[in-house]
Amino acid sequence: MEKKKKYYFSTFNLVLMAIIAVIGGVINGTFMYNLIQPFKPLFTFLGPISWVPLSGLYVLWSIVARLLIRKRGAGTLYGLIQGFVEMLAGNRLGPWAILFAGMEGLLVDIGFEIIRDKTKFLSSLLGAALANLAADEIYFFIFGLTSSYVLYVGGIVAIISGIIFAGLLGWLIARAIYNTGIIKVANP
Amino acid sequence: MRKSLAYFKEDSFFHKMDPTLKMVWILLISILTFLKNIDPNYSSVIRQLIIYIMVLIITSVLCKIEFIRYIKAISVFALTAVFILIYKVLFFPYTTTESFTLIYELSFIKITHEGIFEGMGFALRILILTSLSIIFILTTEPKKMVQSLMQVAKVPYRIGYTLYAALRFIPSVYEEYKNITNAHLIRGVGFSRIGLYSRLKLLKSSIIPLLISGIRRAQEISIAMDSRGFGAYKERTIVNKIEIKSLDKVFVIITLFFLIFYIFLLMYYKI
Repeated sequence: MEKKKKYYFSTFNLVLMAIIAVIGGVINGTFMYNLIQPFKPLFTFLGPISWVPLSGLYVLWSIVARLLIRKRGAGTLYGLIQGFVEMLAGNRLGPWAILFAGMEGLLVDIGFEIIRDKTKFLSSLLGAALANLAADEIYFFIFGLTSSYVLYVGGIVAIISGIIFAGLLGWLIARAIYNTGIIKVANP
Repeated sequence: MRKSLAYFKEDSFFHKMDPTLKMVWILLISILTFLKNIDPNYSSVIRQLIIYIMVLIITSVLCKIEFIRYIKAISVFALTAVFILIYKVLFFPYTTTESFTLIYELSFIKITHEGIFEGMGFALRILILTSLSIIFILTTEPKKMVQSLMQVAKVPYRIGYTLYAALRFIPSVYEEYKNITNAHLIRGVGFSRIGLYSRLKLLKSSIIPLLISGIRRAQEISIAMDSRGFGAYKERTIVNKIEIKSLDKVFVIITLFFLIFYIFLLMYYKI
């Protein structure tokens, strides 16, 4: 008879979340900045929302974590941990960074619940789109960018950015990890 | 980690305060900042200015954060606040559907009363919220915060351990990342003067090894932890017991009463 598991998230799940959160924090804080800076001028035509087209990259890690730890709620817990790491790494939102990242993770989880495809490809795209849309709309309100142009155009750009830079890229990264054989679960 | 936004040792009230209560206090002040302060008018700007001055006094007196340290920490967000102020002052009519009083017009630039107040209001709100974050980050020792979350906020200790682990992994992951980028540089691969596709390829060849070494480490650590009985009991013993000082409680309760009093004034006296 199989022994019933004592905890929903195994020790491996938790340690893996901690490591991905740190990798995400380090990459977001160093590598990502160098990566996106040269491309910002390309989007100046968007005016005050020129940062939105690349904002999806910040949701990438929640998608990667959710794909590597295939359990309900993994995105939310991962988000909270990443928010904690980001706060300590110098995110100026302070304790609010925990709430924001947790909310992004929750929306990633919701996306994975709405679409349950076998390869998790569509789930990743939906989760990333929802998370990036919500995060960017909250930023619009915080920074007082509440015109209908910003809310609608910014929202659409946020969805596209989330799909490409978080959903698609996250899914490709997770697939590359699975292809190495280091984690033995089926697709992606 | 940004040096301007890292914990520093000091003998102040906020440095000694329990991190969980500190978070509650920040939440209360944040609510205070947003309460009826969204409308673009004179009184909402004055109310926010008073809150900002109060936060600045706390930063200096109760946190003992030097002025230079505070300026360094807030600089980026202060620039954002100034940008939003200018944007709102010059282009307010394009951002709203409500009526406005025009002061000056030049081509597409329209300076309005409401724009000036809304710009000032938003700038102050950003400064207040950022200052609260700075207070929290500069005065809270990460280790103590995790202990407080586990003991005061009753976060399960397995989750608390995950936060501890994340703190411990920061230097080693950073070291690993530097090794990978150095290996790229030795082979003549770098970020300068390359296109988007090459950048994404480089991103992939940095992230995948970093994740794989992270997963390997997670496997080793989790096996070691499980074999030592991590999570065997629902409760665990505590070496550093956290006790909330009554002064911390009083401080948060006073802030709560102040918030309730403020709501009362807003409702009955329409200040």
